[in-house]
Amino acid sequence: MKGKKILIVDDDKDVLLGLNVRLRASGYTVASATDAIQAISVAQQEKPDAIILDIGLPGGDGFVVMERLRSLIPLAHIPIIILSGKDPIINREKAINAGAQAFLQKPVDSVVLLQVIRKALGEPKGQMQEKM
Amino acid sequence: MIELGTIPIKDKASIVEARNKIRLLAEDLELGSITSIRIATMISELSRRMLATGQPSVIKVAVDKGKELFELVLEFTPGQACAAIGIKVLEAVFDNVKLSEKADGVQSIKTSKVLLDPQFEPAEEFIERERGLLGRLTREELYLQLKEYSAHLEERVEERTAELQQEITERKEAEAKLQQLSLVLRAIRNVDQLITKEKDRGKLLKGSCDNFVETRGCSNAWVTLLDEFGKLVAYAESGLGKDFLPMVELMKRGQLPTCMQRALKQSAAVVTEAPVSTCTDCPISINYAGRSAAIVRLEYKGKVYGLLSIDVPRELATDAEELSLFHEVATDIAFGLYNIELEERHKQVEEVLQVEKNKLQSLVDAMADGLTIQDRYYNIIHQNEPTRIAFGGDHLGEKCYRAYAGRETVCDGCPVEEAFKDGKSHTAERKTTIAGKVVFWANTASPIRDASGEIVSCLEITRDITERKRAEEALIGLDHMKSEFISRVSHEIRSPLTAIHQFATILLDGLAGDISSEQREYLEIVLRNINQLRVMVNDLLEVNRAETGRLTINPRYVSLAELVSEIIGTFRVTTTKGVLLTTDLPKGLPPIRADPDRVREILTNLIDNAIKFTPEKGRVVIGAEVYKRNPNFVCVAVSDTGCGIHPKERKRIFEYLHQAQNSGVDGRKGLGLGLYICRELVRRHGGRIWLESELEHGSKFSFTLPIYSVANSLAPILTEKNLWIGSIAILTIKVFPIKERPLTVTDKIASQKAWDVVNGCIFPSKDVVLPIMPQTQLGEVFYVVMCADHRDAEVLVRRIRDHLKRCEALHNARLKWTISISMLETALAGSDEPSKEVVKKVEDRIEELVKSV
Repeated sequence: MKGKKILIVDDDKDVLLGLNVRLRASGYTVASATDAIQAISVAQQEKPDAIILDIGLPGGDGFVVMERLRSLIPLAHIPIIILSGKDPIINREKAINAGAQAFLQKPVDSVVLLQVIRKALGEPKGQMQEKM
Repeated sequence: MIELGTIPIKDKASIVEARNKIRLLAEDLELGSITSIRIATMISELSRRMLATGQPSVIKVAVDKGKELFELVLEFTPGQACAAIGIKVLEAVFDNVKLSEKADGVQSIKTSKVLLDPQFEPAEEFIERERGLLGRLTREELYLQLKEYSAHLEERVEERTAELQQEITERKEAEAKLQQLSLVLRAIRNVDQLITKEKDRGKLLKGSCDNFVETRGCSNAWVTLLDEFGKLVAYAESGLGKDFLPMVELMKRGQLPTCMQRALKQSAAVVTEAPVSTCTDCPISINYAGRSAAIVRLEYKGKVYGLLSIDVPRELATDAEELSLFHEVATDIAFGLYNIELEERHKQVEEVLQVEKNKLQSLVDAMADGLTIQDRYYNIIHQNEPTRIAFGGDHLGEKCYRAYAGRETVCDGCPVEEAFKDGKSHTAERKTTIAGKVVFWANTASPIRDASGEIVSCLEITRDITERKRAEEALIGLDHMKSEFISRVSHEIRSPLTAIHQFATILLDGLAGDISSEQREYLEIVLRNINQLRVMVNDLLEVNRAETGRLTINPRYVSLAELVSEIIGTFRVTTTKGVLLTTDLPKGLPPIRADPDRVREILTNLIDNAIKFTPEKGRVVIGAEVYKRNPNFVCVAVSDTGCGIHPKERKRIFEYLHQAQNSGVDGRKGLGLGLYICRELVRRHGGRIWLESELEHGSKFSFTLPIYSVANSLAPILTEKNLWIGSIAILTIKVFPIKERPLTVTDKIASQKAWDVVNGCIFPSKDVVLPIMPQTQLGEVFYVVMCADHRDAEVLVRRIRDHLKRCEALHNARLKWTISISMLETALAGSDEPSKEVVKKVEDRIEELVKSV
């Protein structure tokens, strides 16, 4: 199922580009945002099928963005994958509780990332078994 | 009225006995030496008078002792010739010692002795008989008879006259003796008075001697005090003057005359009837003409102080009564000396104490630390100079908390209060603001006990620890800064690392066009280095956590087999090196009680190392089995066919910052943190980690983790006390998806969340445990075991329900849950080891429940 739209939110432009290349190569359409406010407006405008969200962002962290997205009815059910360099011991649970589908720590293996995205989009599994 | 018995007053000896008894009694009552002597003297005097006059007398002595007033009642009844002694405690309380004397009849004693002839007949009867006779006789007969009777009467008159003369003589003698006795008694009384008021030894001795000469009709009297070696200590005399000097000279040389030597050896007085003619070695002779000398030792409570010598009229020299009185005076003088000695010793001790007290005071004032002593009511009874300086002057008599802390009640955690409670030393830190300056104190309190061991006060040492506290705070701040720094750097490094990682994999995956095999090789090197860097960053964070006490574990029910296969999976995904990774796990391996995230970390670290040091085509095996040495543990081992580790290094390999000498194929040493973290994590699980290795043949890292045991988990609640309560409640909480579907990672995280929520509900109670969390295909079930009745369990269930309803993670994961209660009776309290049986019963029951799910 190619062509689904994914919004990537990350303030690091290089990381943003890398993810962009990786996801486009896998056939997804990509939209991107580099801060919290932009993330909300792009999400409203583009209505992505999934969002890859960093926690440390200018203008409000990932949790604020998530809360905002959850409160906007047309966007409330978009699956969110947290991709952050922050400590998973502290943040994984917090992210799941706030409604994230998964928490991935940077740097993430592309295979794992694509698996999680596919699952979030409800797509059938690829050849790889899910390993978490 | 306390009857103290009667003492028959028959003779002089019984007077002495009565006197001694009274003195002992007075000592027992602690009436004081002065009073006791006065009473004793009075008794002596009274007894003697009574004995002499035959008149009854009563003596009443009121004595104030502290706040109790004693009335000493002494009754003398001449018919029975005895003294009844009693003590009556009066209700009235007087301020001063009062001595009142009511000696009925004593003030006007008259010597009266009734003289009766047992043959004497009354005159009237006699006349009647004579009349009868007259009527019957003739004149001649009457004349003759009258003449005969007249002669008989004459005879009788002569006899009677002689008898009367005899009696008059006897009476005169008795009177003389009585007079002498009166003198003696006065002398005793004088000496006794002297003893009670004289605190100077010299004056006592001199006064005693003078008394003998003045009131007793002695021409001389002398006293010498000798020490235990017979050396002259002091002397006094009266009536001798210069004549005594030769004796003094003699005594100074230690040459005592025979009579003195003898007197020192015996308690009875030594009497020399005619000193002038019989004594050869006495240097005094001049005053003894016609008189005898008596010498007796001064003894009290077994101690001999010296000798007392007087001269007496020769006719009294052998009189037992006289000698016993003499002896009595000697004892009284010795008693006086004893009292003076006691007082002197007292004074000496007091002086020594004063010196010690001064020394201590100087010492205490010279201390750098503050020192206060408080009584049981926290009143300051002593403070040293540093305390006065630190807390603005003298606070003696004030409450400690008011003076030093400005409070109205005892400070929280006061070490003095603690010390009073358990009798041990306690230290507490305190912060005060003195003149706007914050000062930290370390207060150490030690109880002070009296001779009987009772705590009477408390010593408190106050040390200013502001400097130390500041340094500590600075250090803590610095340490905190370091931790913060490491944490931030580690996280910030991740962003560039991520970018490098992303583009390296993009290139490798050919997303930016085809690459040559050489380019591929180099890119793989880049990727490998990125992975190393990632591991280092992770290790750094982990060590930081360990150091700041945040390296916590959250142990739960874990299936080791599942966990190992999951980890192996991730390695197959990421490993490119040609090393064979296999497992060796027996079937039926018991579940472990561990934090799965941490076990994953330990195993990842060990497998990473094993792969790093194993050449291509080598093998890495992950094995596990029940630990043979301790079946409560599972032993997990990671073995490789690598280069092995040198014996010298094996000991230190788990140490902090230890870097391997023989590095991996890339020649890098690493941070030396990985194995240290492994060891810390294993230890936090209660296990141990060790290494077996053979050079060139490979290494085997083994560690143990506790086997999951319901019994161990239940141990905290299955106490004897709880078992007596009689029932255990098992709450079964099931978490499962609304629609039947396999569980996802999200589901697991959500049910973990639910587990935490339940845990949070029961957290404060020690009588509740969460023993088990087995996984089932259709959801997760866990149990709460609590020791309580059904109603308590329902209260807890209600609380858990309320909290689970609000758990968003469960809603988001679309999971629902149910709770049920099952009760288990534990009426096993009678048996010896009920807990084992009950544990078994609970385990069985939980097993049943698990099967029924």
